[in-house]
Amino acid sequence: MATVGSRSRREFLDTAWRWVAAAGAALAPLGVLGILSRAGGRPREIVLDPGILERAAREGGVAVEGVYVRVRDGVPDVLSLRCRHLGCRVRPDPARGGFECPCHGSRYGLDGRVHSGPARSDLLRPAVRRSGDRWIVELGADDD
Amino acid sequence: MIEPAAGPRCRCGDLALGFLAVTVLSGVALAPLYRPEAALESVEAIEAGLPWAWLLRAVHGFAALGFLLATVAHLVDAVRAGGRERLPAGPWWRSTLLLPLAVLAMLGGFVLRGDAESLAALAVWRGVLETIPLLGAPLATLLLGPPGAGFGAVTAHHAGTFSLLLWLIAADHGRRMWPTGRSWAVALLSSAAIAGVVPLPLGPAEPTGVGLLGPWYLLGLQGMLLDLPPATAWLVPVFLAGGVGALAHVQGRARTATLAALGALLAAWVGWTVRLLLAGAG
Repeated sequence: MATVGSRSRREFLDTAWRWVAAAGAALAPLGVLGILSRAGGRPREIVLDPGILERAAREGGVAVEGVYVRVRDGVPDVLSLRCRHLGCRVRPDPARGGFECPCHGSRYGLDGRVHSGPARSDLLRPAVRRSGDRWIVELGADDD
Repeated sequence: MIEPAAGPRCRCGDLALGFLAVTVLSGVALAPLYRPEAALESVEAIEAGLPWAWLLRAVHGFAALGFLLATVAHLVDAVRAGGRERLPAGPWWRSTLLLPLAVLAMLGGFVLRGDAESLAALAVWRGVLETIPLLGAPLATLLLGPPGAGFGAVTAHHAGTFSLLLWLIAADHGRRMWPTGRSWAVALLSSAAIAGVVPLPLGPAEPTGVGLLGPWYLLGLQGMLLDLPPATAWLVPVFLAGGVGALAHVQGRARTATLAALGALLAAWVGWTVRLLLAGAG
């Protein structure tokens, strides 16, 4: 009986360990995915001081840390320079006006609207808020 | 076991292990000189500020290229000689991971330069990964770190994950941990010889007037992205690796059809490379 009892206990422990291992194997990817989903891009802020705005007004627009800043009626008009195709940084194209992606050639107008692909969406316009004599650009993960 | 087809068989497998060994050891020597938080500055210092470091970097780069080419040559040789009968399906499938891992490791090295082309490549790499259903965003974070987080994750996978996996799979495939003395010598001397005369590229921090090109072995994919949806950039490599893996299971006409499909994909790859270059990188 002791042998039977011992074997039964061993079988029970063996089965229990299998279930624990199976549960762990099932939960591990979910845990990893959960951790990774929280490790997404953090929002970033860009401070536009009066000097930058003055330069943007004088030159018609300036690229600052991944955004393009123009000034309209004293208020900054900001476009994200992240291409909506695959995320390359687009650059101003003074010759033709607007913006061009150096990776796959997408073209956008000065207002950020897509003119030719492969991108299909317009450039994003991040939110802007005033803080004293400065303006703060609030970039989400998709804008940056 | 079926005897290989007639014809010369290169010793490309052992040579590939030689190139891998040179790549890893030169990478270990380079690692203390590289700073992920100041990538471009540290690579510029390697190129110009430290004696012989430029040669070490070039040997690292050309040995990696040698590994890629020797692995491709070994694969072609094995397929041509009927390697499917000589290698069981399990090891064959594991071995098919060598090429994708080599490309990922080399793409990581390209990205770690920190110049304008590498930043664009990092953005595109992330953008392509994010098109994978369900797993895309977490996988991008796992491989590349969070957006805007710099080169830390890429450095870790380039120097650690991919290198370790490559050596493990290569050792499992070849049943040896170290290359032969001859392969060591050929890999080291040829890498050093090319490194001495061909400079490894390093671009400016900001893009210039022309379009940006990715690494030469991925220009076909970059070209496809001019005309096809972004998911093409991971679907095509998956089909290529899957097709090579499937060669372990198919015979006769099915094998011929699989080889024809692989050939068509490679031809498309070459065609879009030409299209991209003619379009001036987009």
